This record gives sequence, structure tokens and C-alpha cells, in this order.
Amino acid sequence: MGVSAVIARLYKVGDRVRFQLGAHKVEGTVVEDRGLIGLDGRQLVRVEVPLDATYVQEFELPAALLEPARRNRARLS
Amino acid sequence: MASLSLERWNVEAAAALDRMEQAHRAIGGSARGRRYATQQINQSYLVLLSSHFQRFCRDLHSEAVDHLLGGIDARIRPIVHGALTTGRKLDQGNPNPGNLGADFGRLGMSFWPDVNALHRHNPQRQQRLDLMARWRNAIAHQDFAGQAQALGGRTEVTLPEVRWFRNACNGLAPYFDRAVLAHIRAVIGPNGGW
Repeated sequence: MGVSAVIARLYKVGDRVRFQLGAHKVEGTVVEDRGLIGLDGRQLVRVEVPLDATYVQEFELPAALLEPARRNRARLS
Repeated sequence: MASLSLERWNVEAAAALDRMEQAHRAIGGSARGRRYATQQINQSYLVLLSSHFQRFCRDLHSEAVDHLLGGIDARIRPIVHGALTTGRKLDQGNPNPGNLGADFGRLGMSFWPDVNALHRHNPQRQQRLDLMARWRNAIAHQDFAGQAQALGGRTEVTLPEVRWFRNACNGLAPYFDRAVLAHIRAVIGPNGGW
């Protein structure tokens, strides 16, 4: 059994997440699950973040750097 | 030890591509229309091959970035991750030699010189990859005229040619893996990487 088979996926497409971007916490939506290909087989995801009203940027990040946004936390509780 | 990306290429992509071989065999015999049907499968096989190889290359890039940045401060990491992966050519484009050189070049690699130094056949494989990308574009956009010079004016690709391209991808993949691993270790130390 490979490493990727025993490590859980933390997020799925559509999940709302938050992460620290410089001095600010930003919020975005997971738009792609890149799979369990990160360091030690951890999940990587692409997150779409509206940085302002006119510009959306995608970040590819380890899921471990993310936390659920409020809507997800409410759903989980 | 191989990267997780290479494992995925060797297992998942190989299984998907083998199913195209099976589909080709399933259309056996000499009935009318067979040649047309097999040509559709050959073209589909080539496009699928290109897309799986693109996925492997993109995965390898992502995996490399995560290893390179694994030790830096978590507050800075998303900024650098974004800088290295946003607008990556492999997110949108073919795994052609130019796109590969550009994306891995963002990590500080001299990608093709590094890969080609690892095996004397790699420069020829690089050329085959370029030709595969031209076939892929001609098929995907149904624009054979635009690639006429590279394709010799042909509009049909044969099964042995698709296998020849697949062999080139299979030949290059482990050398991509080795070259990227060597780069990671050169940057972050001998215990870095997979």
C-alpha cells in the first residue's frame, strides 16, 4: 500500500477555505484537488481567491496550510 | 525511490493507455469502415497520451515545489507557492519541450540540458515529444493544415507512431524525475526530495 492510500484528503472541490497570505487571512474556494502528491504524500489543492472585486488568483497549496472557512465549520458542527 | 507523480504515471496512466490498445484490438477484422474506426482510436490514443503526460509533468512540478518549499515559514509559503505555480504553462498547454523548459525553469532548473545530460537518447526523445505535441494540436483542433510542415502533410497517425510517442514519454519520465530530484537536492540539501 502506497503512502497516498493511507493519508486522508482534507478538502474537496467546492469547499470554502482560509489561509494566511502575507499579513492577511484570505478566503477562497477549492477548485481542484491535485491529489496526494505533496511532501510525504499530503494533499495539494488549487484555491481560487478573489483578491479584490476585479481580480481572482489561483493558489496551489498544501491542504495542511488551509483551514475551513466559516461556512464549512458550521456545516461540520 | 520514485516521485509520487512518476508512480501515478507508471500505474494510472499506463492502465488508461493500455485500454486504448485494447480498444484498437477490439476493432479487428477487415470489414469496411475498420480503417476509419481505427484512425479515430489512434487519434484518441495520441490525445489521451498527451494529456496523461501533461498531468505527469504538472504533478511532478507541483510535487517539486512542495518539496522545495517544505522548510520555509508557513506565513511566506503561500506567497512563494503562488509565485511558482500561478500561470504555469502546463496548467493550460501541452507538455511540449518549450512549456516544460519554461515551467521547470521557474524553479531554477536548466531543464532540458539537465535531462539530456542523463541519457544519450533523451535529445531524440525530446524531438519526439515536440512532434507528438504537433500531432496533438492538429487532432484536438482539427487543424492539420496549420501543422502540415511538421507532419509532412499527413492527416492520419498510425498505431506504431502512437506507440513510438508513448515509448518516448516512458523513456523521458524517469529522467525528468531524476533531474528534478537532483535539482531539489542541490537546492535544499542531500536529504531533500523523494
